[in-house]
Amino acid sequence: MSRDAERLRRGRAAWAELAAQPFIRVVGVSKSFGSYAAIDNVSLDIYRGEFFALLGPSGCGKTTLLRMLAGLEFPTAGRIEIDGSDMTRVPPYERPVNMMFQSYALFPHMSVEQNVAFGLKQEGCPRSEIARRVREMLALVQLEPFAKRRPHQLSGGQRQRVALARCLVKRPKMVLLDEPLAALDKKLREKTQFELINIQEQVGITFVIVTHDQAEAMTVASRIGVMERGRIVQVATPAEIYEAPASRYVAEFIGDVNLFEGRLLDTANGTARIRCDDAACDFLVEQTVNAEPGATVWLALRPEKLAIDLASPEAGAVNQLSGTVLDIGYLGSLSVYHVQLATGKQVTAVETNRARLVRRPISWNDQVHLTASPEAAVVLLR
Amino acid sequence: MTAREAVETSGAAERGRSVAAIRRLLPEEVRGALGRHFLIAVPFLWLGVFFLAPFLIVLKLSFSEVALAMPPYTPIAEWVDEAGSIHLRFTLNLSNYLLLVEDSLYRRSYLNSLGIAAVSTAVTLAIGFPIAYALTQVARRWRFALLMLAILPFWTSFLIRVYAWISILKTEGFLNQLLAWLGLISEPLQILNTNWAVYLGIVYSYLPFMVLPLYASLERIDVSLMEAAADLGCRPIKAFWVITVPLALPGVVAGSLLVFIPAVGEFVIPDLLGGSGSIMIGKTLWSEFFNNRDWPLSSGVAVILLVLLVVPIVLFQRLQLRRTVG
Repeated sequence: MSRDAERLRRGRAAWAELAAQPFIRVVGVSKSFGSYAAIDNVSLDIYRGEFFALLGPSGCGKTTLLRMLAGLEFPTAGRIEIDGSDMTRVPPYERPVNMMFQSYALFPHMSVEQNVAFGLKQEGCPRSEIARRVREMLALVQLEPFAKRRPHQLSGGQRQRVALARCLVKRPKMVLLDEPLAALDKKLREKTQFELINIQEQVGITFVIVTHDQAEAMTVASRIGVMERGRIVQVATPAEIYEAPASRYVAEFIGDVNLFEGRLLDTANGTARIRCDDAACDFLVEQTVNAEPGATVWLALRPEKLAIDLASPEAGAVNQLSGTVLDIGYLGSLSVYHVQLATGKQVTAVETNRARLVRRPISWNDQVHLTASPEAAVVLLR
Repeated sequence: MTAREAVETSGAAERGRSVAAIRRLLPEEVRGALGRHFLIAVPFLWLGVFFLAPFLIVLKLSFSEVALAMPPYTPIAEWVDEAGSIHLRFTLNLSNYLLLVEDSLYRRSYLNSLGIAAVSTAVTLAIGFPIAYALTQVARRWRFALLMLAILPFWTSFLIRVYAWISILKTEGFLNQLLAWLGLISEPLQILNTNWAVYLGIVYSYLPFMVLPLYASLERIDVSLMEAAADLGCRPIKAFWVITVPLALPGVVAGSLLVFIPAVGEFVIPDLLGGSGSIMIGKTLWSEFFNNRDWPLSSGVAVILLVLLVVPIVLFQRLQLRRTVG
């Protein structure tokens, strides 16, 4: 845990310091395939030693952006710099960057060892050094006993580690991972996420990962760039992305959220008052909102930040809603309540099941009260 | 549904039920085994009737002697009456094989055939590989049309296509006229009735047999392998040699055997396009059989040819086996 904290600190220092030089710079990059703009004027700075995640739904252009960093595609416009040198039109075989492909792309006619050694051979590395570095790398990914196997004789998880070793052995300036864990089952995927973090810490190389899985991005990444239709809509740490999303799109893409459309009544002393007709409620939110009173804004409220209770709250409580329980999802660790408000709007609330559920305290069709503290919600302008 | 239809369907259902009932009488493993054995038996039966049996007849023939009879050979087994006791006498005549080994004509025919087939296979591979590779590089929607073009010659009879080459290659043919018109030659070239024409004919006729298996194995190669090679610092030309070519090897072997094996025994092409100098074993076999009416000797020629061809086939099988076992 302390190592994680250290990682966060070390990572945070890089992008939070004004003087820090970005290691990878993507400047105004666009990429079109025919008339289709896959990437639309994207600018992005990534710092040395970061574990950066590009997150978005399929077709948002995240893989195209990654392939441009690898040199497998060239931008239609814009510039890409890696460690101070312009790499925009440098072919992949001359870039100090290695990519791990979604399919792993292991050479089927070569053994694990030969696959890992392939990149070093291309550099013209002396044979003894190749052997030593391949051994070290196989030890790092715990594949030493499988050195002589062919890729088809390995399990999915082992193949994934060969692919990773093949990238890392060249000691590149940056490792690109294209949905590296998509082919693994859930348990193994979660275990491997932590392995990836550990390996990245050990080798200290900048990692850029592409994923559509927000939990994966939040687990592994020091910062996340959320993408929507060829643009980057927010770049921030996982916590910021979750707690302070820049837009409704980000709020809805990362985790679950209740969204209310409302009108800003006033902003005083760092507290905004928002009238939401679809909730029939005036919300108080502790947030400095940069908008004029009367502007249309949206209120995002995470389900776990809504307290659900059968008893009505004491008088004078703020941000309270009441409605009928439509549906209950029992997930073991959590219970998800779908509550219909008097206005007809549906709201989701999540409670941790702290005690074993002998008798469900809240049941279907119960009249319930939902409350949220003024710090729980976030006001969105877009 | 009309009444008649209903009756018919129920009849069919009943028949289905009765078959199922009979099947159910058999134990599970027997039912499975029966199905499997039947499936395997069909090709075996076919090979037995149309390949093994005729081959055994040819093998038997090769051990007999030519005779002025109908059919024109001596039997290898016959009943004889010797001093009153009737018994079966076997006569295994090895002279055909001795002649084939001793007479340089046959040796030269075999070597010539193998040589011509080997060179033609190499040339077909050299032409076919770029064609197959190009097919995998064009946009997917064009591939089918281009593949059809590669197969298109098969729509015309093989014989007619070989005849057509005669009119192209002969001294007053299209090729010589073209070359003369271009001013490249002053005297017509003698191409027809030389080994060159034989090579040309074989390469032309067998090219699709090379291109199709090559295309099949090249097409299966994942594009991301080439990208991974480039990403790891390998230039495209080198990646072609260390990734594409080794992965296409099964196609290379299959295509080469599909060209080499029939080319060794080729008769039509050397007969029509080759001269008297280009003796190939197919031609020798033909003249032994039809001109000399020496069935036993020509059977011997065929048996030895088969033995020569079995060697590369076995090698191929080994390779296939090694590939599947890993």
